[in-house]
Amino acid sequence: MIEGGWGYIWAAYGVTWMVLILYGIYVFKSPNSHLQ
Amino acid sequence: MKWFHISAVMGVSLLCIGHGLGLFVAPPEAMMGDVGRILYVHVPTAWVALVVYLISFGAAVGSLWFGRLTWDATVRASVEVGVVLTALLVFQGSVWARPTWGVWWAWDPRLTTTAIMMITYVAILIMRNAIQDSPRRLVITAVATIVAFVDVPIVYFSVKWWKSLHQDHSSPDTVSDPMILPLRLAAIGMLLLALGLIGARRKTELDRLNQEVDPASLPEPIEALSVPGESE
Amino acid sequence: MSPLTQSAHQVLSILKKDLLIEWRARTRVLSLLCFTAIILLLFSFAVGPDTATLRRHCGGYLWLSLLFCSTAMLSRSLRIEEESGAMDSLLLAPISPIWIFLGKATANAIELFIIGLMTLPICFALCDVAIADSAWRLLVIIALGSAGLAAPGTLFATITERIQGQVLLMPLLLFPLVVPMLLAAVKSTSLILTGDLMDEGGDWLTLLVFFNAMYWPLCGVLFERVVEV
Repeated sequence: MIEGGWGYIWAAYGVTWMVLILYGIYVFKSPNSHLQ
Repeated sequence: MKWFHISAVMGVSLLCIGHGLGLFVAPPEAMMGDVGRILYVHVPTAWVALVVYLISFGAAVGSLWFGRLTWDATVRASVEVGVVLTALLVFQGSVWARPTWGVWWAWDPRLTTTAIMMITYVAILIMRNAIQDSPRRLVITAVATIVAFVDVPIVYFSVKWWKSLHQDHSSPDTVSDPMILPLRLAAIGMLLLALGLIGARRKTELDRLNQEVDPASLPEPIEALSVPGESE
Repeated sequence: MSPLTQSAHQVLSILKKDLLIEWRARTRVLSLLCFTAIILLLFSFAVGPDTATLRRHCGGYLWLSLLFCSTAMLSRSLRIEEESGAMDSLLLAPISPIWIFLGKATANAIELFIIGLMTLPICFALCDVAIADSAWRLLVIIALGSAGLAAPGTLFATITERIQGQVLLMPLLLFPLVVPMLLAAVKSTSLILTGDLMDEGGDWLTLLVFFNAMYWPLCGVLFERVVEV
């Protein structure tokens, strides 16, 4: 049984969410809106 | 408000709930203690990455078969989202490895081959950027994606075939009951989010492609060609 | 003449053409061999006089050297077609591109196989190993490994040849792809050279066969689409 380790959990979840959110912003921000 | 917006929002919500439950409500994992909670982010990411690559494969086949830009845009979008997910997967795997096995990187077949797959798909994106001619780009991206995807089952089965340190697939059957719900929620949430991301990315790509390409110059769809080997 | 015999003849003529080109330029094969040998030497330098390590990883060194050699060999194999417009003429002929691929990839596989065979004695000497198990099996492994490199290699070399100045792209695409196959080749080679205690050799051989069975047809079919564009 491994004690604690919440640092790793936060690292894994934190980075995952951050990357997904940042990528989501990049993807949903339509760069072509100036064409419309 | 397009379908992919809705999908992404639903996905994020489900993912929040799933992660919330997994982190704070579910019991600690039997063998690994609290660190086992990484399961709720790692397993969905792995599963969804696989599904996304499956989508890229289907889109690549469709791209060759129909020769339309919509398929090409889907290939591009799904490969890119797949790369993002796989990169996350490698990172999560490494973070899981440290407290579990004491090393940042173990020679674990599944982790290693996942990293290798990521490089392959990144190479496909690099190659795609180097080709300016749209019909060629469509065909070559599709071909490379198909070849790369055939590698994916080999990754998947490497857990079974090779001795490894990695846990067996944490399918809901092998996980205790209170852990199934957050896992399923997180998995579905992640899938919806990924689909939303692909949809949005695809639209941007399609707009960009349509801007630069004259549709008449696209390659003939396969069905319009005679079967190779038969006499003309 | 039945269509099958006709196709076989076509494949054989492409094969003969490529092998003839290689034979006529056999000094080039010699330089490829030297290239492979040098890489093997570099590996043994990197490891140092640690005979135990060298012996244990002999399979790895052999196959990595062969892999690097394949990069040079494959790009040249496709460049000669491109330079004099030979590929375009080939495509105009009434031969299905699948047979062109089959002929070319087989020629490449044979060349890799020959270089592999010639590198074996060097590997034996440097790593202080001998064949502990069946020599025939070793031949089969080298043949399957060469074939496994040649099929996707020929396809990727064809793709990247037309891309301006992207010499790096072919290995970047090929190497990650063939990793599982290389793994199988390395493991089975090491087992043959250092002894197979738990009889794992059969499993790795199966993976080699499986990999080849998957990729030869796939690359053949896709080759056609690639050269059309």
